[in-house]
Amino acid sequence: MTETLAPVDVALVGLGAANGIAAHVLTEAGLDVAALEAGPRLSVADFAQDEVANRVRLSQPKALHELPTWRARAGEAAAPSRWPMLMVNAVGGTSVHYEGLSIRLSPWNFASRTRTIERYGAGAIPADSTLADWPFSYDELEPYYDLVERAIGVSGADGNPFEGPRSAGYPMPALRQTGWNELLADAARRLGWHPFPAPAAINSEPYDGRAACTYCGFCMLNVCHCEAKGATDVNVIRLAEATGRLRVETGSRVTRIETGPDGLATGATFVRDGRECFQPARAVLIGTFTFENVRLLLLSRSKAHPSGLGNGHGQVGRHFIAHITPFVFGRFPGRRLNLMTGVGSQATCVEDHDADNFDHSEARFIGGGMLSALQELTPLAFARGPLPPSVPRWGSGWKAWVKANAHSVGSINGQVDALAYEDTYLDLDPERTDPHGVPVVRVTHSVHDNERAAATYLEAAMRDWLLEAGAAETWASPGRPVEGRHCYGGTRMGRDRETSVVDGYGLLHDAPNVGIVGASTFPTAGGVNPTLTVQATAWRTAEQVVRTLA
Amino acid sequence: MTLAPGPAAILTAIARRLIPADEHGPGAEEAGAAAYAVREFASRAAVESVGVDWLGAVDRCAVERYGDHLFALGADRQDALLADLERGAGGTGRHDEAAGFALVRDLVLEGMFGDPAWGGNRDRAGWALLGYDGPRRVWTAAEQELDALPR
Repeated sequence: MTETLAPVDVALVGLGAANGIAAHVLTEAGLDVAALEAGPRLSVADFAQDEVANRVRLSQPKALHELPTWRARAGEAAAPSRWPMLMVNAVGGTSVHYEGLSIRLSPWNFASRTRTIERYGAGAIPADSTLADWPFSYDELEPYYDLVERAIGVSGADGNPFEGPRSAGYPMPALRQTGWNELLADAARRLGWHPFPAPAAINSEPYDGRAACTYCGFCMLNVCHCEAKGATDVNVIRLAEATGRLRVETGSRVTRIETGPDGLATGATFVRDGRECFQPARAVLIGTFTFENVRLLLLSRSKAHPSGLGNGHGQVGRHFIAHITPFVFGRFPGRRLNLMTGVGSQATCVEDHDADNFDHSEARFIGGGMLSALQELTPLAFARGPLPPSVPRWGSGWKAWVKANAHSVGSINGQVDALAYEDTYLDLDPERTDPHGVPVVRVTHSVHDNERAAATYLEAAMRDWLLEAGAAETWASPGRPVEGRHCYGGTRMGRDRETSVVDGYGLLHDAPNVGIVGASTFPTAGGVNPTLTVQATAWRTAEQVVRTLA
Repeated sequence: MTLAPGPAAILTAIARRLIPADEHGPGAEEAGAAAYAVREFASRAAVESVGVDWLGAVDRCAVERYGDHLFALGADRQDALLADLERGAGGTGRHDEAAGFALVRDLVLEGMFGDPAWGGNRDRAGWALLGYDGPRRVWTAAEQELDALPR
């Protein structure tokens, strides 16, 4: 017997980085909201400065048992993911343990197809790519970037010449710049590049009633001990709950979006403590990360939507993109870099190699990616990190090497602005299910020539950068690592319902009282961390829901 | 030939070679990292698609190749076998041969460099090897300068 809860204006599926923002916007507008969150409420007491505890924690949640399977191409068998997902199911979602690097996309990213054709001709775009412009420009999103930066608290500094126009400065000055950050900034300037401190959702000074960062050294994959990190559970979700109009249902795993004869959503069915419940709502916003957004739509088949909700044109799951994230390491013999201190978002970044910030006439790829030199190397992460090819991976020789170099190795990472292709997509795995017998998502994805060329280019730039900073040797992470945390597409937004799933506001073409928030709506990835743009688009989506329900 | 060892003895023998005790300090066994790996192996093997019988298969491989159990072999022979297992050329014929080695290495590193609360990293031996004094709530600007020593 299904229990039916009190109806609300909007049901949120997942209460993380994206729907946390939506909860704030909707409740501020006077709407009643219920958030259905699979995870619990976490607090500082649930965390320690303990790398093993974080691994154990991340091996337990719902997310791990519903991880997508991966295969390179159609016809192959899919296997469990080789790439860590590191998702958190909790109020605040993965933002509770992210590093908080919060940077805007470049204006170019919103129209990369048109701009590439204008400058380099249509032949510059790989033939099998499904690259598309966004249905709106940077200028249309800019006010929402500003609203999010103020709501979650973003620190940063002007000076990145490739950043789009800002209506206001950063709410806080940049995080403290370390010796490592300055070493890399100086080297970048000597190379003619334009370094800047990473903007971050971390308080560089007390902000909005929350403390300033103490640079503790355990920011990544950890909850902040003093609420200096702008995870959504300590800012926007708190504000939403304070209105009295947000009801948070934890431990609630949504299984279906229900629709009526008119095809519109009537609410969401979820399971809590083994018991099925129904949350009636006038509108539903799905914000559960790329894989689960797609999965829930495909699982929500009905008379009105026989091939899955929003899938009338077979677009759900298409245009999947994952960041490729090459790392390059450098060894600075005799120097103490002090990277086992501070937070990852104490970083020096450059965007000289991103977007169309350099002439691609000679390049065999379009776009590029941001390079970041991060602080915060924890001891276990160092010990597990890639080694130069000449160093043994274990034994006395290895032991001598780690002892001698524990404080002398630094790294840089790049985020390749990968493209969507005809053969990169998500669907339901026909063979593998979660512990509840529900199919998991299957990823079909391989690294294409454009991405290989871009990664090679970024790697060369990272090597140049480290050598200029004084590294005696450099080495790269093996292979072409796929970033399972930075995944895009599957519910692409666009004006044409034959090539997209949601409209420019993130609402389903086929059922406009259902919205999707998250990077699954992005037509392109961009070469930077996604969360700030996820949050800006979520704000815009929530505003549109307010308008449509008025 | 001695009696066949149990999985714990096989894993401990491997851990001793991955991080040996030497002039740079205690090894995996002395630091409790081997015991940590023994405790964690079965549950982690299940998650990482490594058979729980991996350790026994490796030991049988040692017997076939060298006529004795892994723990009873000299360090050179142990190292030769481990190096082959690492690249999936140990001759066990198992699809999880290299994955099993990677898992054991991962667990030994966790036990060596993870928080001592988990039973490894005894007396902070792993952290001492790295010259790391342990977690703190606060790092100052001066301590984040290049070449500065922690206070």
